Amino acid sequence: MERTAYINDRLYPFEEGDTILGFVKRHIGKEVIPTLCDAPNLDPFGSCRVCSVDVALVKNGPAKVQASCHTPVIAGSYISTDSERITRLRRNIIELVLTDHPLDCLTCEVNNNCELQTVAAKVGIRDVRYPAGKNHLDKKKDLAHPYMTSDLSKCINCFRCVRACDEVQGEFVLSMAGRGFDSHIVKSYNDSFFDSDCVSCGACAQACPTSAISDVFESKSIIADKKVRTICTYCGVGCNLDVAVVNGKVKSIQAPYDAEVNEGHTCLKGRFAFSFYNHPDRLRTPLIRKNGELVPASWEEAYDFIVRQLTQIKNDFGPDYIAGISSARCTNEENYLMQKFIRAVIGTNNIDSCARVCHSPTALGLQRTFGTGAATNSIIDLEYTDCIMVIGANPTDAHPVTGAKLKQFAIKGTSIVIDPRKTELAKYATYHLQLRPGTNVAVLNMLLYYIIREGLEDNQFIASRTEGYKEFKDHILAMDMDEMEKISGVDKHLARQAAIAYASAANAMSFHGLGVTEHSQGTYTVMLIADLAMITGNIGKPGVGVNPLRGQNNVQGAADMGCQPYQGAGYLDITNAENHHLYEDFYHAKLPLHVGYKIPQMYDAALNGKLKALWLMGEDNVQTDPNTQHVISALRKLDLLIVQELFMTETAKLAHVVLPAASFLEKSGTFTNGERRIQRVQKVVEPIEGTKVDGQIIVDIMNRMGYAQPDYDPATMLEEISKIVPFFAGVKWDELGENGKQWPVLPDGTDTETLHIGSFKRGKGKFQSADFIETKEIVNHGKEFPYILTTNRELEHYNCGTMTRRTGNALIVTDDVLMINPADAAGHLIREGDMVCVISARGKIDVKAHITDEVKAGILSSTFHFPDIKMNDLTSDISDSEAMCPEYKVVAVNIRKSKGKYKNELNKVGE
Amino acid sequence: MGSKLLLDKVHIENIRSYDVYRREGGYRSVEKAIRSMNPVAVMEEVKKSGLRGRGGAGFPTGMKWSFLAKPEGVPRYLVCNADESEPGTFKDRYLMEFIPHLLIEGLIVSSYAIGSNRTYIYIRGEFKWIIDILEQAITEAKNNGWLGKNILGSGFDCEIYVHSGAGAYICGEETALLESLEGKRGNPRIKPPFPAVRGLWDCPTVVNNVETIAAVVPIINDGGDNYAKIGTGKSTGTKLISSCGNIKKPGVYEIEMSISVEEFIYSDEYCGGIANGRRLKACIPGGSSVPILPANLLLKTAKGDSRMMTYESLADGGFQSGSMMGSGGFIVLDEDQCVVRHTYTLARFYRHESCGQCSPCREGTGWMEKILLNIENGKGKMSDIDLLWDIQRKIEGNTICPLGDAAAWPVAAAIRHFRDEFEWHITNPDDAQRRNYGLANYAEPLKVVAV
Repeated sequence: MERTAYINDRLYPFEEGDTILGFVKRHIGKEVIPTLCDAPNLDPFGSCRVCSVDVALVKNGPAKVQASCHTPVIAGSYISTDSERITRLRRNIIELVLTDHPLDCLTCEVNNNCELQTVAAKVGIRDVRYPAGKNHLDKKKDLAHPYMTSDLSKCINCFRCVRACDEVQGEFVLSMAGRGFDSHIVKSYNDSFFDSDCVSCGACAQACPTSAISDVFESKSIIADKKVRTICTYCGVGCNLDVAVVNGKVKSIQAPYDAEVNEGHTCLKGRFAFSFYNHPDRLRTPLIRKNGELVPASWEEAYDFIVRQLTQIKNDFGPDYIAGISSARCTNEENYLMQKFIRAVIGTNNIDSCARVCHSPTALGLQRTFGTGAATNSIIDLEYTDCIMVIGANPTDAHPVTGAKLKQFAIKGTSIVIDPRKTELAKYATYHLQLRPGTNVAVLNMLLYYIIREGLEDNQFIASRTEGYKEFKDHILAMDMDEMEKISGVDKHLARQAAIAYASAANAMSFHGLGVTEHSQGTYTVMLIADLAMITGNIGKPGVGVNPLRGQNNVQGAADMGCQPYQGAGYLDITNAENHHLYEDFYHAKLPLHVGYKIPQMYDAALNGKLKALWLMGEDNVQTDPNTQHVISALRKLDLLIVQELFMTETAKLAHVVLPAASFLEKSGTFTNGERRIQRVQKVVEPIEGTKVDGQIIVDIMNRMGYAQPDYDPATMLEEISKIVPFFAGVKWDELGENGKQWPVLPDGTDTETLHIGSFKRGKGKFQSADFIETKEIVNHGKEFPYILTTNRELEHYNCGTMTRRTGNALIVTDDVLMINPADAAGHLIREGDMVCVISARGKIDVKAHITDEVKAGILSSTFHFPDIKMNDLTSDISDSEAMCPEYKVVAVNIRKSKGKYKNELNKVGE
Repeated sequence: MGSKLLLDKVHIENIRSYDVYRREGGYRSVEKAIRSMNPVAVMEEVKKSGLRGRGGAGFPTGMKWSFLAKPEGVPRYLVCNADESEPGTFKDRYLMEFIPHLLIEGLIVSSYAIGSNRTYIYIRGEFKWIIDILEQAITEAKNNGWLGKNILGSGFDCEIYVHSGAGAYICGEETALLESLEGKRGNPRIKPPFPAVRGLWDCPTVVNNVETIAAVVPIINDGGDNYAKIGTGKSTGTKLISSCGNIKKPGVYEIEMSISVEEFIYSDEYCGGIANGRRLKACIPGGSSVPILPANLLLKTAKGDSRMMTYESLADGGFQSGSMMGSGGFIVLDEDQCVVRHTYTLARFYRHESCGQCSPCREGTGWMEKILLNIENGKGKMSDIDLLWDIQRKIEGNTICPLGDAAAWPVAAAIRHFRDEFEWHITNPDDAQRRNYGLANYAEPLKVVAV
């Protein structure tokens, strides 16, 4: 039968699976059928019945009332959206609902933004025929949480919050208790958000049609002067945000439903943690160190000082005595400018970025195997995959929106989690391989071994798309699984089952995080993950691939823009003569041909007097880089340390010049998320007085140092970038649209969801085996320091917490804690909340104990969100053998109950 | 005396035990089905019998089975709905309590026909002692090779599990039952998808009433054609009726669907007439949710025909002048009963049992109860009757599950047929507190009210 049906007697085509509501919305308009329990990002529910319509099978025939939100369209049927009886039905339903709803609209938070109010107005309620009766109007408000609020007297029992909590976030905190008229929302087992397991994602508040659940910013109801769509500054998911501005101030943030990346969802960082932007602690004037003190200065004084100092160092020692560290928090355009400045104006390749300390092994490993150092697929591919493997990543904390999607998948489908901790995802996983930190290579070799042993390779893919398989296979098969089991602590039978699950899935997709890269064998681990994908043919189609969960909002972009000492913008090898000419011509400058320093090498060079000046854009190396004392000594040796920052960070305290920069809300540009999606960051408010946009600061200095660079403007910068970065060829500011484009973007503007279809960037995919090598940290210190400390992140805080600690998040998670297994705690007589002294070969710290079976005995885990704890006093300067990414994830330590307040070097620095 | 197919042996001493049940010919249908019939043949036999669902809706069982999706490699489930909670209905309880093996036998045959290797009995939590009886019967059946692996060497495996409800009437609705069986809050699901496609654990599922399953046993034993010979029209076979109220002999009766309502009420074989020499005022013939009928419309249809105890005849005249067979809960009211109070009692029940998911039912049931109580207490207004009518119209057909209809119909029928009694309550509030409206003209010759 033909797929057409009548809406109010006019014929329209419908699509397979259309509900009546969807059908009518598409053809007639969104507002035609009123709804209450329906929401754009939730499954149809059919409980409010306000969306009812009349459906007849013949013209003017007997009609049946159907809830349009979940009833499929019947071919040839006659749908009336507002017949008289339907109108009356809607009116009577709303009338019934209003008998248990306060009529205090004028003082209600959502007045004029209330879906109930809108529907009531639409159906034309003029009075309520029911006498005052039993109701729930005396319910108390819940205002205990820093963000989430509720006033359940306004609840209309539409279940939208419950469904958002289940279907969008997968947290299962909200539920409906009681029956019938006594139905009421509960938060875990409590009345209060604060006492519940709520992760403050705000999905329920956004979903709630009234003000029954809301947030302290009144996000859904605020009457804004303007709303600006921009990209979140926190993690590499790249959530789109709608930022509401009133009187030039940011008041609230919502997640747009039409955003491809986050589809109306975001986490508490994106949604609520924005108040850092105008925090009193923001730097508002440049500072120059005079007589040991940082004193306020004008921008001109600061610029003059910098130009004078840089010129002098360059003249006295040469350009290689100067280095820059760019920032994955800044825009592509700013990163591009930073590397251009260092290369073309200073004349050195001493440029690196914080990608070094997170995903540099991913870029390098994937380049070696595939030729392109980026995620091969997109997050949307979760809809097409049959098995997910998550290695060394804790996405529900660190990439919450992608984490929620992975969790939804893990609840229903086959999932493998390889992680030393029992992360939230691990709890849902089909197979959790809980390995000893630092043994990824051993575990991946086990998986490869069993795939080959079971004959589950994709021979056709191997033969046509790859090289080096024969040697690889022989090498893997020669390995001793009992030994791998012993090394990693992972049961070989479990590894075998996981290997079979991954290899036999029609489509299997892997995700990895810093638990892969921040190891001495980080690059090799990435290559083995890529090998797993190749050996099973899981590359080059939807629903498969190797997908690094990039940590920072623009860590992909910083690397793309050439902020590394060996590759320029677009990953071209700067030692290659042809590329060299290309760059020289493009920048109209003389460029060096030799590779510059990576970040760890910069510290060594500084300590050896080989580096005199360092320019840091938006990075707090003292708190975040490993082996803090080593970093501090290196920075102190410099003649010139320039720090561009929002706040007086631990690093800024050591600077000679501090430049107050603008936050993401105060500038425009582009961020590239973990799935290579270039998205537009739009200026929401003007930079607070005294601050400047990072890109403009660099442009100002470039001009003052004699290089003509036009003022910072994302459109013109992107135009320049598109001419030198091959995969940006078709990127134009005006054409990026609301949802951005995934690179490579061809000159005609088409973008790319999936990489390596048909062939790899490097031609054939290259198999390369790697043997497990114990990290030097354990070899050298394992005996003396028998525990392994691994570092992790908490949902509520971002990296060193510079931003999140200056928001309400700090009221939810108040300090770093040390996760310790109950057996270990008992062995040291440590109780929950006791201070524990953790000692490594580098230093010792005191931190509060949290006893949990999330870590195995012998393993400890903690965060470095709070500067007071100084977690990185413990970490080592051992790094990945290939990409020099520091090994944050394996630190040999010992523990004991704290004896007294331990004071260290850093306290004095700040004073 | 009519033939009995389900309860014919119920009075045999110790029929509850396996040995007696088997001695009396029990489990023959399992032998016959598994040894000499394939699943399709069993289903065909049930189709031929014309058996209709005995839970209330009366949907043809064979057809329901044939709708079951059968995707490769996906388990199918049979779930027996033993959550009998409808006020006035207690036939399943009786059957399970006194002849439990009949249910188990029927479940094995039905599971074989459907291909269910794991079959569940979802039983009302209040039937605690019956759970024990069923568990005992299942154990006996298993010990004797009727359940478990490779039954009768056929390669067919079947286990039966008893799952207790927790006191919610709504869990008798099949999709709420499935939610509850999965361990969730018992909220009905939206349809489609229907359980036949996505039921228990998202797998194809058939949900059948206890009596329906039990009827499969005589159908297989004697053949579907023979079963269909009993009864009239599309009401084939026998039906269990649980009768209660102002009658001389309340209890569970198995009737052939060919006797008249009058015979059922007044014959000594069945209810034995109205108790205490009173006169018949009204009756709810099919469980508390079906429309109540005044005596005149109960005994004769609007056309003047004798009303029969069949699906068709009880529904004759639609809701205007008829009612429904429903679940077979036959509630008789004599002239001393107050229809307003009675309706209020039912409204209170449905308000208490509404799950709260759909707004018309959640809010509407509460208001119906409240308004009815006002009228009952002499505080009603004339406009309340229209308001009640309006509310029930907004609930009926406008909810995810049929509980909304079940709550609306009793109120609608009471107003439709007994409006004068409601009006009398409102206009004579003081009188109404002291005495009943009485029989009035409800037994008078037919007067069909047009509403």
